[in-house]
Amino acid sequence: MDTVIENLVHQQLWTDCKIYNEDANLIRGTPPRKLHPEDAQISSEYVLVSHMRDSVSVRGYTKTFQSVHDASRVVHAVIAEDSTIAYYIVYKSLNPPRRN
Amino acid sequence: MVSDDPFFNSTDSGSGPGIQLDGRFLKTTTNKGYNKRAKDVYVLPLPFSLNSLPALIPHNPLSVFMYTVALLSKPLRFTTQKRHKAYIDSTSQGTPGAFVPDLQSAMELWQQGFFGKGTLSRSEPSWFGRTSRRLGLDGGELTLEEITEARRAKRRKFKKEREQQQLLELKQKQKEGVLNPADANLLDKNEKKQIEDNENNAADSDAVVTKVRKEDTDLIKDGVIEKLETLHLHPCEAVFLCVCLGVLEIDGIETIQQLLQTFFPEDSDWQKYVVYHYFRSLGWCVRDGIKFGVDWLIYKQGPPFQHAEFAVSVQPSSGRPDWWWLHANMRVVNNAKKAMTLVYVTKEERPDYTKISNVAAFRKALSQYTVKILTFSRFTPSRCRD
Repeated sequence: MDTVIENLVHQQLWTDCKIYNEDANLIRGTPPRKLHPEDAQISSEYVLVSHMRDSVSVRGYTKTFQSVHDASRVVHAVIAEDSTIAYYIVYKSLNPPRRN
Repeated sequence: MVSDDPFFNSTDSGSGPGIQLDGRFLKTTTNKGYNKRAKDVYVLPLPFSLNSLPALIPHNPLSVFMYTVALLSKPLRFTTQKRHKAYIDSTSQGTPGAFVPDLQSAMELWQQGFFGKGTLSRSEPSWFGRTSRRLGLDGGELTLEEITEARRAKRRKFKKEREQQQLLELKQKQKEGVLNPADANLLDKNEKKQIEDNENNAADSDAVVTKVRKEDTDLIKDGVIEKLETLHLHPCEAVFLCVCLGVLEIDGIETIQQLLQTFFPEDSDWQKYVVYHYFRSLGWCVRDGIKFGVDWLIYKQGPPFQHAEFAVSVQPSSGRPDWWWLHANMRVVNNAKKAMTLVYVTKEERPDYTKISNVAAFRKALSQYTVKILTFSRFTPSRCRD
């Protein structure tokens, strides 16, 4: 979690990053610009943290979305062996693709 | 310009010789110049230097004398110039591998063989320079991350202009009365969006990124930016540097046995190392392949010089290739103009670490493993006729 917070703040330039829910591995913070061009404005986002060696399951995501009840998406940060962090945006339901 | 230029993966070539960033001028067409500079910086292929003996001319007694003195005073094989120091993140969720906190060590390990990755950078530890410049202090040369950011800012600007253009076209159609319902819908949506954008004007502008945040002011102590970034070494890199080159010292690790138990707990970890060691010992620069969904990327010289030619995937020697995986990954690898190399290690189990007490035993253990290589490149009949 600390690795991801440090990365969000100092590499991706997010602000106000804090641990939101320790047990659910969730961070809350604000990105420097809109994550999706259709967003009305910059809003604070939830970031789920996991390692490459952790397995991913629908049950896991369901739990995550239960702990962030008001949000329709979370950012999933996956830490790799070489300390690269890959970020994915996970939506609760269908989401139209963004224009390239 | 789809190129081997390490700065640009694929960019517009029609926009003049360069892009403007932060008042500095970036040349996009100086691959050669950059390589020349790279050759000056990246002189040593590995982090040690050889001791060369003076020329021996048998009929010149002075040369014989100098030769003998040199032979006796310096160890014959090589000198390890410096022992770099690293530590392990021992928290339960800690990233595997070792961290090098000293900036000088980090730069040397990067420049001499391209070991490690800056914890706050894509590869080369460049956070300090980037941040210094962002906060208006001098930060030296532009980093790769900043060049990418400049390209993205340009793309965002283009998208915004395209949107406005579209809006104008739709309005024109509306005036002429030839607007169909789908377009009317789009116009409505675009107009709304534009109003929104104007309302929170700062929302999408780059000014947000260059603004100094509270997080930044916390970094500055006595007018100096705290050096936050460390170099992270992959477990395989750490073992290679410790055992094979002898230039790294890891806090709390006393023996080779302990090192292997810490870094390669699984058979698959050891297999990955065998492949790493194999390519390193043949002179390739080996880097983690996570960005392309493979185990390793191998470079002829290193990332600043050219793109990796091969994506290396370590396969279980008993299994058959998984065609679904191969087809999927092949596309990714092929799009980046790389070939897919499947590597089979003939023995699956890791050696008994308790028997590896010195470098000779380590070498002996490695010699029990054979590496077999199979390379795939994608063949598209209509495109591969030249």
